[in-house]
Amino acid sequence: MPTDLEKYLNDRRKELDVESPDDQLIWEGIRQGLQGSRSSSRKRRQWIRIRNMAAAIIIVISVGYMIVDLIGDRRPAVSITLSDIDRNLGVREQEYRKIVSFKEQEVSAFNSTDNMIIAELFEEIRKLDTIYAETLKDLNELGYNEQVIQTIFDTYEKKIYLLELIILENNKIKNHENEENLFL
Amino acid sequence: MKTKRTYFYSIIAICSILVTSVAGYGQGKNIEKTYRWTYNADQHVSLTFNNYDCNLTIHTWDKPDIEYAMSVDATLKSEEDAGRLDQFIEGLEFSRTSGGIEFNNHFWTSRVSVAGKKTMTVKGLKTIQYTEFNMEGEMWIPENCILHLNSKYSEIEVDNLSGEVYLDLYNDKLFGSDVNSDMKITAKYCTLEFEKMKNIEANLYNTDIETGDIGNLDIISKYSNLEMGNAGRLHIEAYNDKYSFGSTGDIRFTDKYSDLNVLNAGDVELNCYNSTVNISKVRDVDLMSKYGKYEMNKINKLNIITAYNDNFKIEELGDLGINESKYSVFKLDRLEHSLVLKDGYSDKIQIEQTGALKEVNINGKYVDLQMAIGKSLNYRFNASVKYGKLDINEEAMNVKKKIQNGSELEMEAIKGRETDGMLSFFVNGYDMAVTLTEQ
Amino acid sequence: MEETIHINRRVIEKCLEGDIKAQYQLYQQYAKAMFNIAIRFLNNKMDAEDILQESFVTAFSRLEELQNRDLFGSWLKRIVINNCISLHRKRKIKFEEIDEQMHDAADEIESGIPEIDPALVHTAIRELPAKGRTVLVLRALEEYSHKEIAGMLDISVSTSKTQYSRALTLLNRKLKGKIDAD
Repeated sequence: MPTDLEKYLNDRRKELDVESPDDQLIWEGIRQGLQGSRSSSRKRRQWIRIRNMAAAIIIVISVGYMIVDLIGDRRPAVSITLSDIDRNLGVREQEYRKIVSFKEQEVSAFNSTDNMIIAELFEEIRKLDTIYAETLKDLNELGYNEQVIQTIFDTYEKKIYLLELIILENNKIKNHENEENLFL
Repeated sequence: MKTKRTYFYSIIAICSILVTSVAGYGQGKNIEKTYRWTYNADQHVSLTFNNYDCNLTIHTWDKPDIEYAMSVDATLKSEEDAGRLDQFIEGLEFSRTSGGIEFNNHFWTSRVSVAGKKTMTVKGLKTIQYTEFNMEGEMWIPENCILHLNSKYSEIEVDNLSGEVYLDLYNDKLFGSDVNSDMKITAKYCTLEFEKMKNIEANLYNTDIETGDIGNLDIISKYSNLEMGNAGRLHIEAYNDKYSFGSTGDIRFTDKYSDLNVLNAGDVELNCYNSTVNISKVRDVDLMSKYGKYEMNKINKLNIITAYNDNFKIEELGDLGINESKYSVFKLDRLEHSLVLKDGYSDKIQIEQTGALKEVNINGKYVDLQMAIGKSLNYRFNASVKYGKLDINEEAMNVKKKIQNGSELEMEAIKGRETDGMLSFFVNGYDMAVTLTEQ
Repeated sequence: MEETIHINRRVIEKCLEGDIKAQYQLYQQYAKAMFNIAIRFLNNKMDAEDILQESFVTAFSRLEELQNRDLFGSWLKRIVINNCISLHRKRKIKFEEIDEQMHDAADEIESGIPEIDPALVHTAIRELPAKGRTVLVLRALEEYSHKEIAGMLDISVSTSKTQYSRALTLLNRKLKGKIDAD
C-alpha cells in the first residue's frame, strides 16, 4: 500500500517539475546537433551565454549613457576651476594662493581688531571672496574667456595688496606707540 | 527563431555602441543667421535691454521705431539641435510692459562649458550641445529713448544719446559719444569712454572711465580710474581710486588710498586717508586727513580740522588754520595772511616767504616752526614755552618781559613801532622751536 | 488526451519531414519535464542541459525508429534516463547508497503528508544521495518497476527495493525538517 508520501509524489508529479531549462540555448544546441555540428555543445552554450550577457550589458550601458547624457546636463554643473580650463592658468593661480596664504599668516598674528582702518581692509578682503565665487560661475558658463580669467586673477592681486596694507597699517600703529613713548 | 532573436539583440547592442560613440563625432550643424525685430515706439520710450556676451552697436535715429538685429554664428551637434535653436530664437520677442519695452538676449537658462563639452539649456527645449556660439547685435533706437542697458562680457558702441541713460555693466567695454542727458552707471570691471556728458551718478568697482566735460558727478567707487575734463560739482566717495579733472566746481572728496588731481576747483572738502591730492588752484579747503600727501599751488584758505602724519606742499596760501595736527609737515612757498595752529604735536612748518601777515599763533608740543619774514616787518612776539627753542632777532626787539624760570620761558617783545593790528606772534607749548629768518 | 495524441502524431509526421517548427513544438512540449528528470538524476543543471540537448538530438535523429507515435513522450524519457546513466558511468560517479545509518527504523513514514510546496519536495529530492535518489525518481515519479530499475542501473532488485525504501524515509525526514524550519 503506497504511503502518503508516495501518494503525494504520484498525485503531484507534474507540479514537481519546478525548474526550467534555458530554452534558447538548448534549442540552438539541438539545431546545431541536428545539422551535424561537432563543437562542444556545453562550450557553445557557455559562449552564447557570455555573448548574450555582453550584449545585454552593452545595451544597458548604452541606454544608461544616453539617459545620463540627457538628464545629466540638467543637473547643476560641477564648478570648474582655472586648471580645468588650462593647466598653466591653474599653476598661476596656485602661485597666487601661496602668496596670499603667506601674507594671511603674517596678519593673523596682529592684534589690531579695534582699529577701524584695518577692520575695513579685512572687510574688503571678504568682499573679494564673493566676487571670486561669482566669477567662477561665469567661468562655468563661458569657459575660456579673457575677461573672466583676468577678473579672477585681479581678486588675488587685490587681496595681496590689501594684506600688505594691513601690514603697513599695523606698523604705523606700532611706530607711533613707540614715538609717543619716547616723548613722554 | 531563437537564433534570430540572439542576432537581433546583438545588432541592437552594436547599434547602441555606434550611436553613443558617434554622438561625440557626429557632423555638426551651423547657424549663420541674422534675426531681426522691429517695434513701433515713441521717441521717449523706455527700453530695457539685457545683453550677455554679445557685442552690441547702438545707433540712434529720429524714427519712432526700435530695431534690433542679432547675428548668430553657431555650430551645434546636430541638425535637429540647430533647427530647434533657430526656431526658438525666431520666436523671441520684445516684451511690452507698462514701463516700456524689454528685450533679453540671454535666452538660455544655463550654459555649461566643462572639459570641452559645451551645452546650453533653453526653456522649453531639450539641452543642446554646441561647439561654437557667438552673437553680435545692432540696434537702432530713438535718440530721446530712455535706455536701460544691462550687460555682461560685451563690447558696446553707442551713438549720441539724448534720453536718460541707465547702465548696469559687468566686464564690459563701452565706447560712447555725447550723452546729452543724465546718466546713472553701475559698473564692475568695465572700461567706459564717452565724449561729453551731463550729470553722472555712478557706483563703480574696478572700472575705468574716460570722458570729456561732464556736469555734476556723484560717485561711490572702488579700485577705479576716472579721467574727465571739466566738471561741475563733484561728490566723491572713493576707495583705492584715481581721479583726474580739469576745472571743477565745489568738491567733496571722502576717500581712502586714492588720488585726486584737479586743475582748478571751487571750495573743496577733503576727508582723506592715505591719499594724494593735487589741486592747482582752489578757493577754500577744509580738510580732515591721515597719512596724506597734498600739493596745491594756490589756495585762499586751508582749514585743517585734523591732520595726522600728513605732508603739505603749497605754493601760495592765504590763510592756514590748523585745529589739530600730529606728525605733519607743512612746506609753504608763501603764506600771505595768517597761520593758526591750535594744537600741534610734533609738526614741522616751513614757510619760505610771507606776505602781509596778520597773525601767527602756534600751540602744542614739539612743534618746529621755521619762517622767513620781511626785514622791515614790525611785529609783536609773545612766547610761553617750556623747553622752548626760540631763534629770533631778540637784539632788534624791545623786550618788555622775559622771565626764564628753569626751562620755562615767558617773553613779550616788540620789533619796530607798536601799532594796532600789527602782526602778532604767539608761541605757546612744550618743546616748541621757532626760527624767524629776516629777509 | 486523445486530442493531444492526434496533435502529436501530426507534429511527429512533420518532424519526420524535417519541419523545424514541428520539432520546436515537440521540444516545447516535453523539454521542461525531461529537464527535471535529468536534473533530479544528475543533481547538476549544466549536466542536465547537456543531457536534454543530447536526448532531443537523438530523438529527432532516430524518430523513424519510433513505431508508435503516441508513445513519443515515454520513448523520449527513456532516452533521457539512459543518457543520464551513461553519463554517470562515463564519469565514474560514485553511486552513493543510502546505508543503514542514514535510515533510522524509528523514522516511520508518517501518515497524512501536509500540504507542502512541491518546490521544496523537488529540492529535498535533489539532496538525496545519488543511488537512492535515482531509484526513488525512477520508482515513485517515473513508475518504473524495481525489475526495470535493476536492469537499468545494473543492481539487484532487492538493492533497488532497499534503496527505495531508505530514500523515501530520508525524504520524509528532510521534508519534516523543512516544514519544521518554516
